[in-house]
Amino acid sequence: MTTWQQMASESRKAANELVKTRFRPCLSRAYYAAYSKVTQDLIAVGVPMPAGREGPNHPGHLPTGDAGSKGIREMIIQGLTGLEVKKRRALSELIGELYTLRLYADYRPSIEVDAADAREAVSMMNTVFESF
Amino acid sequence: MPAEKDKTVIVNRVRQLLFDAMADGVHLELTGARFDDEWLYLVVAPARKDERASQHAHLMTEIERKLLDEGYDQVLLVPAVPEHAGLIDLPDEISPPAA
Repeated sequence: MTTWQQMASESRKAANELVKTRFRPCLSRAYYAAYSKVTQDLIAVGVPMPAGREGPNHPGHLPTGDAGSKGIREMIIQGLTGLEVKKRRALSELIGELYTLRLYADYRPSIEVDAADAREAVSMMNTVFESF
Repeated sequence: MPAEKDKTVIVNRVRQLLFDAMADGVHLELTGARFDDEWLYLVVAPARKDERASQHAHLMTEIERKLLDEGYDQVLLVPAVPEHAGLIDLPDEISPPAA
């Protein structure tokens, strides 16, 4: 069995390997590294995952009205209560920005993704790993 | 946190902030909104091609921070995905953004 921690580590390594050569795949891996790391943290403090899922909904998911249908950003704000509110907001923002980059990288070829975006995504990913 | 009655005010504020950002060459448009359990989700999509991804991501965060400063702490800007197609739950504009 693979853990979220292992998935986070693998995606982080991949993002670092891709940062100078494959900008769009780098953005995607950087988001998933951060998503997996935060998922591990949420599970560690007992935050329940949505029904039928092993991880949180992504930020692009709009809640359906069910109590358990919130996305990862709301789960950070409401669930990681061991962090002060300011840090939770900062982490939620990083996940939101990385998700937007990932979405554009994978689905919007008309939007420019360059080396600076890749470097920035890796920097945000590293902040998620090292500062929370 | 916003109440559903605040939705029109927040939507119009976001429209204004998106309009203001055009002067900096960042073009995003509001394409949908949903209020759920004291959270307001505002869906945005690129309005122009060839802009940088990180500019859009930063603008979305900047707008969330401005709304937070103005007292609305559970508003999330959400990038549009295909699943959002047809989401038109947007209140009418009260007044057009100032030119």
